Amino acid sequence: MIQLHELQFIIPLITICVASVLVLIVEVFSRNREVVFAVTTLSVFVALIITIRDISYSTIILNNFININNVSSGFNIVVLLSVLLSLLESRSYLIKKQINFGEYYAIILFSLIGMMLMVMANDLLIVFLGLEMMSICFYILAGFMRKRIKSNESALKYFLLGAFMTGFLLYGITLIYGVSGTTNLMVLFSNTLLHQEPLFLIGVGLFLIGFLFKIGAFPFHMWVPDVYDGAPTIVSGFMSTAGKIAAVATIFPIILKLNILDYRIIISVVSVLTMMFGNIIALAQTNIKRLLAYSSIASAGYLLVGLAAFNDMALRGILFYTLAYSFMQLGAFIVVGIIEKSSSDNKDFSNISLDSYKGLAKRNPVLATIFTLFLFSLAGIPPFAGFWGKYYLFVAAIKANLIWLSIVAILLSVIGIYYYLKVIVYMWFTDPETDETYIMSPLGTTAIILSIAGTIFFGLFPEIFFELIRFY
Amino acid sequence: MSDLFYLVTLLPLLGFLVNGLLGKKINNEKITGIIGSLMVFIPFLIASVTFFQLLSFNPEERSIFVNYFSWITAGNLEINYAFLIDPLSMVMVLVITGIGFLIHVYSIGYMHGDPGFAKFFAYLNLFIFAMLHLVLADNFLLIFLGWEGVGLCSYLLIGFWYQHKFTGEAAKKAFVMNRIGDVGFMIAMFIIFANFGTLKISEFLPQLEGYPLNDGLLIAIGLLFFLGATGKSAQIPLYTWLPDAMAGPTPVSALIHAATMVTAGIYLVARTSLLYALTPVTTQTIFIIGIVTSLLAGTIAIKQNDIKKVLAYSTVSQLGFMFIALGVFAYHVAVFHLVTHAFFKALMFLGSGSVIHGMKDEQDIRYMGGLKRKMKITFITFLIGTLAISGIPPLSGFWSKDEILYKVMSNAGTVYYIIVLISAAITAFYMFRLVSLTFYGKARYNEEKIHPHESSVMTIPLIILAVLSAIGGFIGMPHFLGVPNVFEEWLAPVFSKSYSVFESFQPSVEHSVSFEIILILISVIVASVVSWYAFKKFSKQETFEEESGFGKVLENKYYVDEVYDTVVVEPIKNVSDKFLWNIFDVKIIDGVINGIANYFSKLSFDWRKLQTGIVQDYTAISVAGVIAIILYLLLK
Amino acid sequence: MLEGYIPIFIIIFISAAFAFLNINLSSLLGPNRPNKEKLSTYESGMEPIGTAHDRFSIKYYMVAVSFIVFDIEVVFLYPWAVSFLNFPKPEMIYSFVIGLIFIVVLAVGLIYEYKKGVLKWD
Repeated sequence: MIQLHELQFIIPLITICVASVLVLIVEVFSRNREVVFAVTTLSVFVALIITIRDISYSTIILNNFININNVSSGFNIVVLLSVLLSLLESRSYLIKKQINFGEYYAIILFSLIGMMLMVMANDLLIVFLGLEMMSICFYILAGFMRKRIKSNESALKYFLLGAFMTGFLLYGITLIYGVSGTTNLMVLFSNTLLHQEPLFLIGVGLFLIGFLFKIGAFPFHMWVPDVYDGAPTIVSGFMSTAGKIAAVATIFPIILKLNILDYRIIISVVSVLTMMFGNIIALAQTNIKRLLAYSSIASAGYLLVGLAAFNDMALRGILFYTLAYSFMQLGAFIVVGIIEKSSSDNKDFSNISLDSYKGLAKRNPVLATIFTLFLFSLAGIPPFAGFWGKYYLFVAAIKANLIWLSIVAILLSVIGIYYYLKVIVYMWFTDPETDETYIMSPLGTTAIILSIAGTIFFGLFPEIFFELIRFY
Repeated sequence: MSDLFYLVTLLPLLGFLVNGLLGKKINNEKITGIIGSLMVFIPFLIASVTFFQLLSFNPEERSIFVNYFSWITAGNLEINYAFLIDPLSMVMVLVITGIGFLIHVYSIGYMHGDPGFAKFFAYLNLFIFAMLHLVLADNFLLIFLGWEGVGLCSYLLIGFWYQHKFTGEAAKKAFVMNRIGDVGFMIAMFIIFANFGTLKISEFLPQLEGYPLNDGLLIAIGLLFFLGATGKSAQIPLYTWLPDAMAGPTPVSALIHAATMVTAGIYLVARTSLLYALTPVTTQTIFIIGIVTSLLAGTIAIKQNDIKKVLAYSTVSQLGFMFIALGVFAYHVAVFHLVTHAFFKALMFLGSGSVIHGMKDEQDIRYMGGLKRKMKITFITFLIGTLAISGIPPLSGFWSKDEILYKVMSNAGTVYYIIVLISAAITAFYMFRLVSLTFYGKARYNEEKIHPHESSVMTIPLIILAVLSAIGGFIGMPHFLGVPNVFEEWLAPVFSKSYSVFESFQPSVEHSVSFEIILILISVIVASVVSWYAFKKFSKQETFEEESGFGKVLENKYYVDEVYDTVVVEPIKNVSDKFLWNIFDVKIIDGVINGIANYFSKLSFDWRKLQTGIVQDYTAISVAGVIAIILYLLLK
Repeated sequence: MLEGYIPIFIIIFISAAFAFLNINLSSLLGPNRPNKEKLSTYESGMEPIGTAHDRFSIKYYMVAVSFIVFDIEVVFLYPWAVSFLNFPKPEMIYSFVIGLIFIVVLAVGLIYEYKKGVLKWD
């Protein structure tokens, strides 16, 4: 039975739940999108502040379904942060694309509930519930530009593949339950006898596969470029940060605590292939959204390097990389969104080819500088946050005696620099072909400033985040 | 007050941000100037209060360690953003913020009407910020951050009037020469971390105590740090950038290239004095380099005609004196001379700025003369500075220089004493030549076009600095006069270990009071006679002849720049042009790189064909992945 | 290790083989003489009208979704309503509150649906 006082530990979650229902009601009764937007943003902000305030909570509550500790709260902070940043830029993008419906905000909040649940889950069922809540919302969001064929295509592809892969995940849970008779994660962790059982291993393997799909790892990465390309840009940014972060945040503690070395080889191989495919195919891209999509596949590979390490340093690395990633990847997508929405013809997905970035530095030096900083950070060039993220991850791999893996990872991330630089060269060293001007809304500017500040601040003082979440 | 101490570094940064980002928007010289000056003045006040607080402690407890946050943690490497407030850093902070403030105020007048006014103040604030890190930091990495920061600001400010080609070249030269020194600093840092496992000074120095004298490792570290110091403090072989750095605005020359930044090398050696006390070989090197630099720069200064160039070579020469002091294990004396030199050299640079400003940017002393009556305050203050640097009692320079001479006599011997004395005499000679040519005699400029004048915002700092130059030396009077040497006592806790090491291998020689008085008399007589001679010789001079013989060599600065060009720069250019660029870079490096890049581009075009866009294919590939993973788990 | 599961694998194999064989056997063994009539689309004996890829009205889906929602609501609420009177007092209030929350959430969905005009049938 749920005790009333247990609810104080999940105030952020409750805030979001209440806000999401409220948003729906406001939407149907008044159709006032300002209020909808304000409620949404405010609730996420409040949830973020409360999560930061309550960072030191460590408890298992709600009939052993929810596990709150500083790691889960830390990941929640990152997720909330990226949701907040994407919300800020969403508004002007949606208005420009004429899809500024209240449902968008409600769905964002629903997916946020799913993510937070998943991150805090102490039970496979809650994991599944959260994952599905998140995924279904993502399917809708990907197709949110319902009159655009590409958006519909991306939603359908995502839905088909997602539903298919969820089947494996569910089958994995079934097998685990079948062998152990429980879905409680704590019990599963502690019962080491179980860890020898082949069916259990296969169950966890299938479970892992479900998550590898969500974070876009090879060979389950095929949906990523198509979906990110077709979805509204801001949604792509949102999915590639918040969604991926939540998935990593869920699977990593589970794999870490199960501590079964058989998965290390699987994850290492998958991570190498993921980095290879992400980085190498990105070289040939001429569409900025697809380029960022492949770069996000590569990033998933880096995260898996940490996942393969199975140690506390890896947890550190993943926490930090996700934080840095939410700033720089989202920042990059926001810039792409700004450039896309300013296209004069407002046709289907104009202004997302690399050609639109020619001579950007001459037309709008501020925007070009900002984008360059994000790309530098994504490429892992110090002193930006992205560098430290990769650094911690690779150090974790070295500590786990996976020296070969970290060497491969470093070499492959060198390839990555090439395509980021390609964009930078387009912006700075070619002549402009158009004379479009770019309008930055105040909220979008705020989001960009926050992202830039985060990218630089955490690049200069990487340790501060860990002090914030009391993770030493 | 140490609670508020973080403001000392934070406020200059704030000033930099405000003036740097909003300077154009504010577009008001007064506000910009006041913000810039206040952001240095408030730290000065805080530092003063902290100083008195330290004073109220027991001498042994006068060091406060403030840890703000952990900056980088990676494996064994743990770098904290932490400050060490002890007597030595306190002296430096007071000098930096105090003189810095005066120069900020002065700049309000000097830079009046310059289009880059706000930028200038932003850079100055940034410089103060970096310099404070340099002297306050507790670990070498943070020192290095400040070290590079001041180098950057120096570069930015030398090239401040970037429209002229030569300012850009001078800035580049300063930067490159400093980088050579920085390499030494960095390698020293690496060696320390590899061998001592820490970069914290407070952990590094105690570890040294067990080492024998002249340990090879310590010599290496000491020499490498000293290489860094020669770059920053303009010593042989890396001194040639400093005279060129005079291309920057004069307040910059006063603040960065006379009073503060160039003393960073002295500070570094003093901070790690235990290292040098343990390695007499390194100290010997420092001593020799100091002597040669002071002589070389002093002689060059005799034949220079640019008012700022004379002062620049004089600075190099005086820095040489400080290294001489370090080279005879007299660390507190070096710091003492650093402080007095900061007073009078800042004063003279600002005075020269006032002259240049009043003379409509004329810098050549051959076209000055007779300014005594027209620029009274400038003249009087400049004369005080000159008397101070020449070592005329009881001005500040006398006390510090005499202390150096005395230490050389007792720790190095009579021969060296005479050499250093000659060097001191040269100082008096060229300084009085400068004063005579500038302020005495008849006007040698076009009096119809140029009307020398002074402005009050510029003269007030001059007066304050003149007072400091006059009386600043009383804090460090020698013992035999019966008054306490407060400066030595103040610094005693910092250097006590170094001195005990030094005394362990060289017992201190007690000289009689009469011997000390004789030395003082000798130096006073020499300084006065030379000054008088120079004054007589130059105050009447009206015509200037082409230099010949050795004079020409001096005028051309011993051709050191030319030698560097032919011996170092040209060969490197040749090798890099003919071999490194055309063969190694273009053929080998580019060939390999382009080959790899082409390979991956091709691979990319092949692999992207996997991305068919058909969901069935995606599913098939996913299923293949699932099967592979399950098979692995089954068959492993 | 996996020995215990061998029978299951055998059954999986047999069932898969059975299905595969039967489908393919019938086409292999049966006579194959196609003509125009045989190849034409079969639609309850009628002539086919239009294309099979016709769009359905969104209403069909809406009704279907609403039905599922309320169907499940009943599935949950019925046992709840029957059993919660049998609980001792604290649990009774507790389960009452929980049930109330469930109904409120569903009610919000219903209000949303209603206001969006989904239930208008014109």
